[in-house]
Amino acid sequence: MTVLKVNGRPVEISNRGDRTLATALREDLGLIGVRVSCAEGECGSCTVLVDNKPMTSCLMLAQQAKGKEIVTIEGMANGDDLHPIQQAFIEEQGFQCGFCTPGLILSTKAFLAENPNPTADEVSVGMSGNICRCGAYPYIVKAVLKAAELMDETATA
Amino acid sequence: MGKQDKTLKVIGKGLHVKDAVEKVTGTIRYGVDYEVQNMAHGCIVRCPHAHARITNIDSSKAEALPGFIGILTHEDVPQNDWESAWFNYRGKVLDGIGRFVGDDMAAVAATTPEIARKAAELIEIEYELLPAVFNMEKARLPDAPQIRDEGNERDPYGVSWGNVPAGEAASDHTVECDIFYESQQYAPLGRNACIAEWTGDRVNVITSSQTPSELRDGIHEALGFPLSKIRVQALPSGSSFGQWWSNNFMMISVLLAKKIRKAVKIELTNEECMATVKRRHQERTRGSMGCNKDGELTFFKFDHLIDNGGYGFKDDVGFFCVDMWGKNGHGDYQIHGINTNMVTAGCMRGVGDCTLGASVERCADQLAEQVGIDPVDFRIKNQIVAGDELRMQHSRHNLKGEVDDYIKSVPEHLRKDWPELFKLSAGGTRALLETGSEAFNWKSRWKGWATPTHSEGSVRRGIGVGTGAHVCGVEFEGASNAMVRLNPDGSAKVHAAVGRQGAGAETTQAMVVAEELGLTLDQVEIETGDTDSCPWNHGSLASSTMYRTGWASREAARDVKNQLLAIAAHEFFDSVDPSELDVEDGEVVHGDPGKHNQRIPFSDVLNELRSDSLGQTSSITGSPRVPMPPSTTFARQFGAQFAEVEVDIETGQIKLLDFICVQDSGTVVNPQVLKNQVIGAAICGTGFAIYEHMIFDENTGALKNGNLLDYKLLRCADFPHTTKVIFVEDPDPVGPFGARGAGESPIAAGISAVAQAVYNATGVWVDMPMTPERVVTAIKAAHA
Amino acid sequence: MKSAFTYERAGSPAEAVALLAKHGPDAMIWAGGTDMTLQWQQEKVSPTVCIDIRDISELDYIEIDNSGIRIGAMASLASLERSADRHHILTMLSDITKLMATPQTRTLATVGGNLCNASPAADLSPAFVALDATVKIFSALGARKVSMLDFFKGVNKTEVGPAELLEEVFIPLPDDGDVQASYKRIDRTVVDIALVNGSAAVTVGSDGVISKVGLGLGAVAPIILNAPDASAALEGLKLSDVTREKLAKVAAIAAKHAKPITDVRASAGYRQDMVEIMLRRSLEDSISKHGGTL
Repeated sequence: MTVLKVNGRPVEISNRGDRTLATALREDLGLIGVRVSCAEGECGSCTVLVDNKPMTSCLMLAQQAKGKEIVTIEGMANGDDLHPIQQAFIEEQGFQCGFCTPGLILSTKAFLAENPNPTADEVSVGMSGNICRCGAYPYIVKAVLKAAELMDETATA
Repeated sequence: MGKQDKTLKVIGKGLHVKDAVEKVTGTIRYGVDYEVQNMAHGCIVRCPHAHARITNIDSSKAEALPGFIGILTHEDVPQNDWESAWFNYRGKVLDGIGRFVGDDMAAVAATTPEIARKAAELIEIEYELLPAVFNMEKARLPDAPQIRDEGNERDPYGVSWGNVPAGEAASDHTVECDIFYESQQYAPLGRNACIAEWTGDRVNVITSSQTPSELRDGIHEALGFPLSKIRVQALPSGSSFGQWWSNNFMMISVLLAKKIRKAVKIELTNEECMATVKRRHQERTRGSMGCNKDGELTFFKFDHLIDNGGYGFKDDVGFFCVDMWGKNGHGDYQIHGINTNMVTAGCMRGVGDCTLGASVERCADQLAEQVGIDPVDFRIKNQIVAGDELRMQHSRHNLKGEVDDYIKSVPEHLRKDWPELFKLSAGGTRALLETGSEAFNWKSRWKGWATPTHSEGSVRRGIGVGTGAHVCGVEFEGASNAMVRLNPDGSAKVHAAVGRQGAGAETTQAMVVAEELGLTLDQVEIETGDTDSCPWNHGSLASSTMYRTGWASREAARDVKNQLLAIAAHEFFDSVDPSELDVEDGEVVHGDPGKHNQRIPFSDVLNELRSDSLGQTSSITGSPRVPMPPSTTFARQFGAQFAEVEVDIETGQIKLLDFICVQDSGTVVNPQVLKNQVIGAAICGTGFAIYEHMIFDENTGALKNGNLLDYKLLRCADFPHTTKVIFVEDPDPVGPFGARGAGESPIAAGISAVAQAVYNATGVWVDMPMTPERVVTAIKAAHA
Repeated sequence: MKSAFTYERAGSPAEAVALLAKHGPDAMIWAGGTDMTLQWQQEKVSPTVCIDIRDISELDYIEIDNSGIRIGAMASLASLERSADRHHILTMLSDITKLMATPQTRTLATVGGNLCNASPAADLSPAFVALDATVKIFSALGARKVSMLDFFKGVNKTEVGPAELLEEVFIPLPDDGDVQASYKRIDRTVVDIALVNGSAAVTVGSDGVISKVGLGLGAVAPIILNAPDASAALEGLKLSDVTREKLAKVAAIAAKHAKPITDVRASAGYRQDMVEIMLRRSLEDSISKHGGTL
């Protein structure tokens, strides 16, 4: 078995080489919030954080993540307390069907870590690695800006 | 509207959707996420040919594979035709004939998805190749290969009124068009899967579907056994736009599970979703339109082809441009549904509006240019407003009879409050165009037809406006029903079989019930997917959810309320007439607090039921008690959108700079939900206008861009994040609290707005999708 | 059916080539692995062994000295993207990376992997060709250098042999004067593969004379092309004498080298027309960056 650190805890996955990280997270660990749609790195639904960087887990082998820290959507909330980004997506309704939402939230986390006070245009470009087929984009941009605001408040509180 | 006039407490509020936390925490489960214990995994064996008949199937190699469980072939399948809603599919589950590359030929089951896929590859099928046809014009010819027993083409669906030759004679200007539309693909984020599990002679089907009841009907038809033995548990889906109604792979799952006597899950890959399930039709409009020197339209003459692919069977598509532009003039629209050896085509969001509707808009624009009227004014002059006649319904010769029969069958006293039939009951585009042009600053930005608003180097900017209309659901396949149950603690549950594809129905239906019952949204829960508890419902299609199901949900709540008030009157209010009572904040109150100032919680009223002489139990269930008026004959939704684009005339690349969406869906139930839905439609429409199209191999009809690398979907930075949605609310006399439908008019409006903006920037009309190459080619052709 | 494979990690270039030698031709290198994982899933490649070289941190660098810019093969596209303020050529390369795939792919994908994938539509390659870059290829026998132009051998084919590893890209900087470069492409949505592209690099000496012009044409042949005759038509001219008309002529000469095909993304005719426009615009942009007025 291979040991990964997922959402702060060590976990075991199969040590098969020929499996993607997305498959391991969904099938071995039951983390269904890792959404897989296109399976070719285009849609961004399967985005997870690997050592705090956003990556499309469908284009990464599970074994490549060995020894790395992985965060999935399941690791964002603290019990019933939603992460400010999740809260912001709810408040601005930055989603419709919700399938792309976990990937977008993780992309947002990485994006805001690098650019905590972005402009709307920067957000718009920064979120372009995730497709929202329902077309919630303008509300996604608002949600990310709102999240920046909420996180800023949390940081200064 | 009587009691609707009282202050609304839930309707109109931008409340968070009920599944918001599930969505942002990733815990909501879609079709692909579900599993049942000990299930097998299925994989469909697909046809490699455009048209072929199976002569032999050899599964011996697959059977030797460790983990192989079983195979389903056409020989196992009852040879019954089943139909998806609106004839989106009509045919047998498997009949040994492949009608397009990728068609379902057989299915295998194995212990894992990988083994199932490998087993499918190892199934050796011998085919007798049949001649194939991919072009709908060729498919109409008498010697064309016949794809279906019914023939490739059926009687055209026609709409006509007035006297077209008289309209032609009265025309000072005439334009003609011949426009081909490529197929848009649903490109569903989220894919889909279906689990079927048999318990004795009952089957349970778990899949993402917008139409749970129709899916149950389809299984009933395919298998030929009682509806009571079929349970569908429809799950939320990813984006759907009409893709996930009832699909053949769901029927295959049911039959495969029966054959192997084990639960089975078939999960489709992204490519299967894009290449083998369904698509928007390829369409072609030929026709002409005219107007007089004042810009009043005089006639419409259109002949429109829609390519249904292998299993689509549509010939009565509602094209609501006919209504929207039908205020003046004489009309004749003929629509021909044709089958080809291409993947099945069916209803996709704004079916017809995005194609024939765009053709009519383009012709109207060309007439407006000839007369010298700006596009906003031309639309105001020629589009319908409340009270105007609806041409579509007035002349639906094949369905009008049924509508008339239905109307006659409803007792006179139940019809007295109905709006006037065959005329638009509320709304229209005029207020949208006025409001929108002001918000967009249209009058000062408009520089004239084919005149850029800005030119620099190879860059040209242009503005455009477009409009769209659609029905708010349709009654012809049955009346959508809903049931409301009031629990002993005073909380309520709605049972309404609608879709959860992101349009917020799980929230807005509950809001309607909460409003009617005087509860908060939190006190009302909803079951949308389980056909064992939900009454028959048309589902979420044809923009019917808020209008027709919302009406049923409200009527069911009204029925609950009436029962509740009757009991309360008897038990707590000295047997006053129940009509003197009302509900408020979960309590029954008297309309005149001076007479009775007590407030009785619902739970107290329900508690009385336990031992009450009325003999009921401690919950109340309600259903609609009156027939719904035939809303297709009077209710429409409208959208108007304004866009500015920038075109690089050397490379043909288009950038969207500015966008405004104005929407008339009657009363807005949840502005947050509706804004999102309207913008989503504008983005999907814009995608269709500039990039999205399926590219087929001309020799085989196989899809060549069944992936998201080369099937281009707009991304966040491709669409202006500054886009605003403005509502113009003209309450509807029938819809719940004045609400109407919403999802489809806004997709059509954006398409025409962008097309017109590109024309104004470049001076050239470009057929859709306006890809860089097509733009350059059109500009070159115009200058040649 | 996707191939089954085992997974190994290499900690150094020597280890990587030793593993390649040990496992034979069906062992394949995963740098970032984004193209490899995709091609494996699409059954375009069938590895039996995956050799993951992400741990070779000694190849993860971007260095600048007087002679030029060295980009280690394991530098991610994201780190190239973030190197923009270190040199104006890196600014230009950073702008290119922003066009490549999604932010999530760029964090994983590497410069070396992108080159070794040898896509005719690759974004960095035409710029590297225009900049006259060379690559260093490692093997057990030592390192060898190959020009960027000669590196590409066909679609998904490169000069890297069965037991070799791409080590570094080197972009020379001029001894005298400065080089300015530009890259233009035709794309559809903001995340896309280039339908066609073109790049130009123009060196102007301290005497104000154009001393060197490099051109790179992408997605118009199985490999990236250059256009020495077109470059020569501009070399030797004074910056102040350059006109739009002249650049248009140079671009037209260069575009003659293109041998585009028609596919789902674009027709041969469109590619042929656009490569000329992309080259012209790249040249105009490079000249403008030098302060030339057109």
